[in-house]
Amino acid sequence: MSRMNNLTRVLITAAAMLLVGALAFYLLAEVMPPFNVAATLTIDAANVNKSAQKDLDKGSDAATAFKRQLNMVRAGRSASGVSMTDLYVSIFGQEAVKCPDCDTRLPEGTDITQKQTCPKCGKTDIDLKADFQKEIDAVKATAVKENTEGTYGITYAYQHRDLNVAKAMVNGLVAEVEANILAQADKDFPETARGTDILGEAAQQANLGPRTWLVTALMMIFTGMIGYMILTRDVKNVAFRRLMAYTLLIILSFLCIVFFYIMVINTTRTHGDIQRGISLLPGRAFMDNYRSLMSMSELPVWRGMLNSLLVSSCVAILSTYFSVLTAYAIHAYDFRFRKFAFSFILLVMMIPTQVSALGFIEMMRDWNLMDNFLPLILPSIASPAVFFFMKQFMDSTLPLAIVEAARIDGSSEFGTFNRIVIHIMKPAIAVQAIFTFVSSWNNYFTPALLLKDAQMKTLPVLIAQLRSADYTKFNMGNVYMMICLSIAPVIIVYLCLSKFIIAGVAVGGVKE
Amino acid sequence: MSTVPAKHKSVSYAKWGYIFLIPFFVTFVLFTVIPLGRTFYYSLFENRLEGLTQINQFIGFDNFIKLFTETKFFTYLGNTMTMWLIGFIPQLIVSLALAVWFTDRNMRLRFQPFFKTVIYMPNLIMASAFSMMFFVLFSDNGPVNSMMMSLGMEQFSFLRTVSGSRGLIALMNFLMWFGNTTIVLMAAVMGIDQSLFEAADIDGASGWKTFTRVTVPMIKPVLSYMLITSLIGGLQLFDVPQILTGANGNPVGVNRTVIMQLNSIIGASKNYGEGGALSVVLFVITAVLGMMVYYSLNSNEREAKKLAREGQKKVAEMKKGQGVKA
Repeated sequence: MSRMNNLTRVLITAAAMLLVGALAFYLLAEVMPPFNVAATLTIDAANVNKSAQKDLDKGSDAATAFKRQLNMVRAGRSASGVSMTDLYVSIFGQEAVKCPDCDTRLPEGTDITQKQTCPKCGKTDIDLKADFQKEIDAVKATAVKENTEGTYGITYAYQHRDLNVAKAMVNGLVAEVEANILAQADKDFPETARGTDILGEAAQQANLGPRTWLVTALMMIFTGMIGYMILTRDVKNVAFRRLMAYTLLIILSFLCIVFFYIMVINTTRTHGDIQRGISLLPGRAFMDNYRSLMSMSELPVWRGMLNSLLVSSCVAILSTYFSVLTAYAIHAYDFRFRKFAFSFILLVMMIPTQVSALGFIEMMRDWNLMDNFLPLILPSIASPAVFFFMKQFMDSTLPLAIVEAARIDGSSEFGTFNRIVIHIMKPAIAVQAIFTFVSSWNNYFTPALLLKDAQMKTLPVLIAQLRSADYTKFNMGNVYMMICLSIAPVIIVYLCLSKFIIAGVAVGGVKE
Repeated sequence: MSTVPAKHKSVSYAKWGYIFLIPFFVTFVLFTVIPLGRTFYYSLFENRLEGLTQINQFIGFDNFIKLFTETKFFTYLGNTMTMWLIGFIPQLIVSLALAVWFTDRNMRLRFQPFFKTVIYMPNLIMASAFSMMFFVLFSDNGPVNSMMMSLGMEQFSFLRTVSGSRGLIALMNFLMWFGNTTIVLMAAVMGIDQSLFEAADIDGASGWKTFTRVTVPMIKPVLSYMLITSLIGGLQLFDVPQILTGANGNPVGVNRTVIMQLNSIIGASKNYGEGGALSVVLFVITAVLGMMVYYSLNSNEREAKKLAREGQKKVAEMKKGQGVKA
């Protein structure tokens, strides 16, 4: 870079600009084709058709079932909609509107939502609607289940069908009935509600061509500027470096904050609103979400918080106190195995708890300590990392002359430790207490294996439960509320003590 | 008090050293050594139910052979390392850049406390809550996809594609750890003798030269320590993929880590022979890495001094070289 003539510089910069420009254009125009609305809709339609065709090809039985399911899903979306009879007929055919006993067809236009009487055999209370509803419910359940478990097939078609409908609408082929179906579907299946927005998007996207060019041009100019500055050694320029630093910092800070912001906002919005997308402004459902979360008996949030608080506080106290004690033993006394003990603790510092988890859990089962907090609390007495921090702090702040002075004044060894050493070590204890508290609060692996009783579970285990259970059945407002409640205490404490904590990180350097 | 013969004194107090070490070692033996021994014991036995009787048969190292040949251990190890690496590399680059910029006196960056507070925050967040949050935000029908679609992009199935799910895990690891790394590195950079930077400055070294010739060599011990501890942490990757991608590490197990395999053995399959073997292998790997940490901790001071000397020599050489040119 030192000896490079101007021509080379210009050439390299130009090449970089072209490369970035081509890449940007490729990404925008090819990988994210929605900038061309017709192409998107065609591609999606083709995908749905392909996937449907694949399933159909699998075999006649499966094909029939799939076709029927597809129709049923369609019907399911307009369940309790305006023209159930029409739908029923369109799916099963006019011949299906018949008496179950004598197979006599009922007259065309018979309202299936009403109970009918057979004109031939006189059977009363023919309830076609109930049967229909049953099938609809079954399909709805399947659709929801498959959606959750991530299988393809029906789910795929189900999700993308909206695009087909939209495409048809763009071409002006579909009548009002389907608009009604969509409207009803949005109520029944909020998770696909955005399907109806596709028309609005289509109108918007019609003008998106120029955007691709604009973004590409901006990227090229940006690359050119950076390339020029690097190649002309303007990097030495402090102003330029400052600009880069602030840009990076702002991007990173944005990334660090934005997810939490969305989460907090979503705790105040209703399930439907959340499904519709991101909002920057809070809604009004905070108390509703809170109340409905509290009413869920399988998620005892406050109980979990209390459990977490209990475990984490005990861990913080025990680990710091005994780590100071261990560090003091090695710091203040001269005994034969002193060096060995110190090296040993440093050596075992890096052994993760997971390695011994198998034997640990089995042993706790033998000792009847499952669903008990002791196995979570007691092991923290031996915390090598905390010990190491304490030892380092002691080396710089605890002169042995103080210990000697206390001895002369007649203090017992244990008394000296409790009254003097602990006092001097207070800053280190505070820092480590916070860290051990937080890591215990966040700990998931061991509690998940130990705690099976809902009343004993700590917060991370309860959160994981949200995920493992059929998560679509949860109200999203509740999910966000639960996440928010479990991280709020740590965030609040952190914001109050951030200076102190960051200084602790800088001093320690050692953290798991 | 200094007249008291120290040697005699300290001998008489030696027993207190042992006494104060009791809680640590008793706890350690009880909750780590014995379980560890038990785990190792399991690894040598075959446990299975034959009819209703539990069979415990000594089979030597067959469990290890089975672990390596019959299970997907190496695939999971590969997954774990891949996820660690794609999070760690950007993390290291960004943290180094930030650490240098934060400590650069010429730059005088403002709002430092604010930025430090913000970038460290994700490190304290409960990983399971953070993952659950990403799971709901990035699900197929989640708000991120809705936003993308309203911006005119196509729906992207983050959690069902390999690149999407691994990208999310890497992003989360990055966000959770880069703040911590930045602060540790910053402390290391601030520990460098300021006169070295001044000398480099006077000699007209560019920012990049100062970085590669002064900063990096001086913080090498911290960097290697960080690399190893981060690797050990990476091996333990569990909460994030477990909750974000489910116990199987969907799609098709590409996000299943070694600890997730262990977790499923302890929690569900109860195949203790395999679990024991897996634990032993993990123990050996972390023990080797732990030794490296141990030596780096012990040799930190020596090396730092040596590097300082070398650095000064290099600076002197640079000075000489420039003097000749001028």
